[in-house]
Amino acid sequence: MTTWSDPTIPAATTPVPPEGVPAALEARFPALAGHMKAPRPRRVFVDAPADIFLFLVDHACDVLGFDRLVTITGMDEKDAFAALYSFGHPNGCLLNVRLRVPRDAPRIPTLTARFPGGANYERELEDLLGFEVVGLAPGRRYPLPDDWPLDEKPLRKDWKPSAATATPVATVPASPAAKPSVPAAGSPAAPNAGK
Amino acid sequence: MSRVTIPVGPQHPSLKEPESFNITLEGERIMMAEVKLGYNHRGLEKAAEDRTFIQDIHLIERVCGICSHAHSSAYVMCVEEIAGVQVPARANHIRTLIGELERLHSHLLWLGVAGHEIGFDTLLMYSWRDREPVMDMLAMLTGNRVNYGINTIGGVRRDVTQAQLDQVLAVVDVVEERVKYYVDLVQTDATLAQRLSGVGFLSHEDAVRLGAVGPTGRASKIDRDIRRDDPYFAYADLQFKVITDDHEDVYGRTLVRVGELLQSLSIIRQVAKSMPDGPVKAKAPRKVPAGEATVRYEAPRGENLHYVRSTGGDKPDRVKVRAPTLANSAAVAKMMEHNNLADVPVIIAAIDPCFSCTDRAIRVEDRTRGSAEVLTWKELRRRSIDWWREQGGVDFTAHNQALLKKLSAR
Repeated sequence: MTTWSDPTIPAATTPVPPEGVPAALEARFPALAGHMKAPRPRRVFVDAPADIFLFLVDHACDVLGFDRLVTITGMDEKDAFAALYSFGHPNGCLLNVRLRVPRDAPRIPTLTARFPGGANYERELEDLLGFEVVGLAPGRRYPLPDDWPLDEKPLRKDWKPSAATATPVATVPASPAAKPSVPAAGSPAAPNAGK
Repeated sequence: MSRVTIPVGPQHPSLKEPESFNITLEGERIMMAEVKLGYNHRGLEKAAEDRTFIQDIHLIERVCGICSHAHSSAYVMCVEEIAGVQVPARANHIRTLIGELERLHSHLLWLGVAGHEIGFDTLLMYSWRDREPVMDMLAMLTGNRVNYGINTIGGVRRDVTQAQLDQVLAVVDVVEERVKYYVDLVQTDATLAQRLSGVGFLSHEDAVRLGAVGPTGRASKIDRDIRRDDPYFAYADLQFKVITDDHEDVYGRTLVRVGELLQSLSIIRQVAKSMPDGPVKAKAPRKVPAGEATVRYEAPRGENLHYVRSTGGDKPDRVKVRAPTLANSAAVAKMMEHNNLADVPVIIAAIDPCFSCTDRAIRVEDRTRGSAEVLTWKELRRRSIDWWREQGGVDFTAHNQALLKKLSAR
């Protein structure tokens, strides 16, 4: 049966309204005080220390009702790498949890046990930035081509294309200007002209 | 019965875009499917870091050909949020108008593709014919059928006139009549219902667990729509319904999309009739202050997320695109299980996949010369002919010249 829902009724009842998320997180994790910001309604950014990250994810999902891993954005912050996990809530709130890891050991835990659909996001971190995702089941790489060197991580700020990856794009050969071998489309000389 | 694993793709008959599936069969029945993406990756996110915020609009718009407005909108909204730019109401209405016309043409396109995949090519011909007036409206309003180039940071690049809005309203009436016919067709046609029912089943629990978005999720009872849940543009002031369905199969996905067509038409009417007066663009700084923003946009295929981070310069430090097909790719593997091999094309088509945005694309650059190049139509044609000749392909030059001689002799 197709349902035509009434937009005035919220999609789902939620234990915590969007504006209450920072306070609810701080009540559970006092260490987060001063490490959160809510730049606009329904947006929360949290800098999570590595030791409480998984507890924070559990709390956000099991207690506060965040039920989707929208994506993971990896980035090179020069002094460290960061993974920004975006969790979605039925009420439209988006919780962005930033996990910083040292450049020399960019290790993060997998969340695929809870969010199996997140495997591709984690493979992207491995492929483009060189993260090591602990516990991620072995699989094909994503999204770089199979012959891309494993030690080249293009989204790192210090990445320079090597001889293997800087394949020149074929250039247009200088075509003889005098007589084109194929008449241009639409020109009177084209074979189909007048048909 | 012993199991057989067959590779499908990267080039295969069900889609015009490359992706591959490893499908494990027991007889005709699919036991397991594995999806491999990445064939369209062209390094867009990296390229965006080398360009200014303004240049990136142009680049990001080309993430996808069908839902280009979804991507450029999400990107400019990120930048506007970081820079603290207030977009005028008229600009937001115009953006909404283009966004809904885009959804209209995308869903009509999908309806035709779905019809084609089940051998119902009449539906393809009809729905693509009815899609044309929508494309014409987009061309009239923006100057182009796809890649509209309407967004800029702080507003839109073109205003609309009352005469244009009247024309849109007239076309909406025509398209609505056709869409009502499709709704009726999908709801009452026995062949369509029997062909699609039970195909590509995705339970509500699996859809939630695997993170399905858009019509794919809504057909599995996920009552989620960013336009309502996290409103942007003018959606907070508009009346529309979020359409969900409990069939949880390809039939349900069809019902959801035709229902959304009617909602889009209603939104376009509301926007065109309530278009506020005023400027269409606010002044935006060239250098964007340090900060970051995440924006979600309900693209025709589902939730589209963009993340932009600035360090205070005129170029972004990081641009991230997560297109809806990537979110649905885990679900499509699940949908294939326990279906017949012959149903693979329509199951894949039912998520309305778009791999160019999923893998994120574009860079026309010559690294040896370090310059970007623009090819004219003639040069492009020349290059393709030369390429084929070098690859030992069929050379029609002699044939064409012979034909030309024959024609001129007449």
